[in-house]
Amino acid sequence: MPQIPRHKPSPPACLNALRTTLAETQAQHRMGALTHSGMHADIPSNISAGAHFPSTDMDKALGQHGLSLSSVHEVLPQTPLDHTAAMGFMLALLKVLTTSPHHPRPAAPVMHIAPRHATQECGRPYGPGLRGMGLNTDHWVFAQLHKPTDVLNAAEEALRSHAVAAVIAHTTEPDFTATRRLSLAAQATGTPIVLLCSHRQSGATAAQTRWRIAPEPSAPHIEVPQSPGAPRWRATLTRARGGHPNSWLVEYDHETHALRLVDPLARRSVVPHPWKNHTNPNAAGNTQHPPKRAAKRAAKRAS
Amino acid sequence: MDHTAKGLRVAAANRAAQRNGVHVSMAHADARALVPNLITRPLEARADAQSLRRLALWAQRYSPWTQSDGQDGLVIDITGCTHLFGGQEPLAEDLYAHLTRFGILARIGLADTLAGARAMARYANTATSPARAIHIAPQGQTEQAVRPLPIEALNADDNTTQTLRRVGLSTLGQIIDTPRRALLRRFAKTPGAETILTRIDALTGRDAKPFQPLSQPNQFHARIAFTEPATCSDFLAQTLPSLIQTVSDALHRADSMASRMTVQFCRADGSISRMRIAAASPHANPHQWRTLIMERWSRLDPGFGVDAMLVHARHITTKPPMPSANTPLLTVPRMGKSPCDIHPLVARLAARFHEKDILCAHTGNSWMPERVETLRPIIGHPEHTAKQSEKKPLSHNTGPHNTGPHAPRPITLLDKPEPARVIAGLPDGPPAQFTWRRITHKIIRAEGPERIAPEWWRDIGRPQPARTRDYYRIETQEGRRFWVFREGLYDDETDPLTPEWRVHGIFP
Repeated sequence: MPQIPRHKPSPPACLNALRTTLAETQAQHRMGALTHSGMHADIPSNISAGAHFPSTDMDKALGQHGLSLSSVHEVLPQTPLDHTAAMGFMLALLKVLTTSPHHPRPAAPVMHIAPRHATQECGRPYGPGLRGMGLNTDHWVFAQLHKPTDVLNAAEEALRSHAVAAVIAHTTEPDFTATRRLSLAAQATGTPIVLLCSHRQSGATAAQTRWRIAPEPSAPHIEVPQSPGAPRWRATLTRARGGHPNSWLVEYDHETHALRLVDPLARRSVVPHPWKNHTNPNAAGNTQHPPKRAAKRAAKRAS
Repeated sequence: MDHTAKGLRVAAANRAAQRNGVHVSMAHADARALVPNLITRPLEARADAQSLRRLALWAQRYSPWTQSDGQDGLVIDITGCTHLFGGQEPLAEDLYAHLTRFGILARIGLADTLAGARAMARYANTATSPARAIHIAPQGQTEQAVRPLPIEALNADDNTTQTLRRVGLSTLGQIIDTPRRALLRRFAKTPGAETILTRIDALTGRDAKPFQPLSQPNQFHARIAFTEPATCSDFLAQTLPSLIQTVSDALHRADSMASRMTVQFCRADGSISRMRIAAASPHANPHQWRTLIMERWSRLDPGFGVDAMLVHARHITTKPPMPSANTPLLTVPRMGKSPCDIHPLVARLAARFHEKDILCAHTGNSWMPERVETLRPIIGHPEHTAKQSEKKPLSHNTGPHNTGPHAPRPITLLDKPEPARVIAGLPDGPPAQFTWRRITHKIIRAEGPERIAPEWWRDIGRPQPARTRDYYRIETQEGRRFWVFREGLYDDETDPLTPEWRVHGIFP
């Protein structure tokens, strides 16, 4: 019997060989040669490229790359009644993410996944209203499922499909494991996912950013002072990987379809009552005398 | 009603009409005079023929040889198939029960020959018991059974039938008894003689006519039978890919695609376990079908063992022709990348959860807010696939439902507007305070009213007509914004009910 020479490579050589294999596999995975469906894998060449807010103040708090296009973002309402306000902010966030120049599939449909009880509580997404926020829902896919675990499953499936531009999911309180799975799926395909969680969500998760939204009274309408103006929220960035938390008063501009920072002093303009038809000299922009001080002064003068 | 040479005539009448005296080939005016509130529809011969053909295909559950007979009949050759149903009578009864369930009034005739069965079905009523709908001629006694039938059962043309009657022959029995030579001699000059004899022979069975069964449309199915009943689900899953490959190859050869597939287990105890899969768009890709079927694999139960497994593709559509070099491409890829295909994802999710849970937005032809846009299941609505290929640029003021850029809409809409207690100024002032879901909100800003009147054409037949709605966009002290409406007007005398307030949507 011929003797097969036993050739044992030394341990460092083994490790080097393993390292090169790993590097090659990772490079191949990034280039997209390993997708089983044979589709053109459009992962962004620069995974760390992100979307940026139009206002530099908010952008600075997010860190170097802005809102990452391949990770999980969480939006929570302040109280259970503010669910739709949180949804509005989430749609603004979605607009920022999908209009970023680094997005691999900006024209692809968005997947919206919600459990049935969320639809019963807050209502279903309404196309004409979403159009008013600059989002066209003609080719969106909506899923109304029964269990919260189904929502997370469907979200992961949608993220791995290379066919959606973004995923919106209504969940209750996702834990670290669930968000880690979603984060891995998002990184694999370069698709962002925004989770709308319940107000009780706390603890560490694998999300890149976590926002807490509270509604704010809006500024009076430009043309009609008695009408509600543009939607306004207090957005608090409670967790940001690579950034620092901060809080802003933001307003959604219907013409530019973008978030805009509001001067906190401008908030203190006098709000007219719809019944009393007196013309309001302190209309939007005039921030000289806040109403409390004016009332105190009037009381002093009366006494 | 059919447009004939003699004017508008009745082509078919149902039992209620017949009871009132309306019969076939009666003039329309006469029918209307007899029954003033008669409901008539124009005759659609092609659609009727197609549905008759479909019925003939359905009847293949009894025998592989079926054919449509004329415009209102079916012929089924059940030679050798009766034992599956336990005999002739149970088969006929099963067929009758099914047809009654479909809502089709039927008369069934059974005989040794085709012509005999046709005669029994159409004319046996008048001769023997008129109440029964199934007439069976005992085996070998077709001739006896056929005797009492009138000569119209011969299915000869009108002239021949008239001549026969004039001669004095009124039942088939009399014709059979007449010597053949006499008939030939009498009817030598007329063209009808030969046919009378051939028809009699066809009836009695002396000279059977060949039967042309309906040719089946191209069936795409694959079947595998096991020598022993297979109980292991994994083993069955392993044999599935080859079946799917066979079906896909057949689809490719015929240049077709399927949008539904059925997987069937024929179990050892005689029962059938079936699973239906639907895809969002038709395709013939075996990998995608396999993924979809594996999603729902656990719903198929092998039971005590599976004798045979059948995979059947349904809802076949032909592939659109490949664009030639001269025609411009219909779908232009966006931004240099391949157009994204959401259909495999939709099909996978629909297979995993439920077809009704995966929805897309559907614009309705209405201005009521809840009907302007509804969510409908994607599978089963091919408009979604059409929308994918042609995407018009988004513009704000398109369509009749859009009220213009100055009418903002909420981002979430409640499916049923919920009642709220509102304090507002009469008769149409904006609300000042409202209580909804047990929480009171104080309103600081309001915009409105935007009046949306109901669609009067939908109210026809309803006990209570829909009421006018006045919509208000309101903002509370905390900064929450809602869309509420008042249903009904205060000054309206025609409306007996008091106006009610409801919350319809929430703004961001």
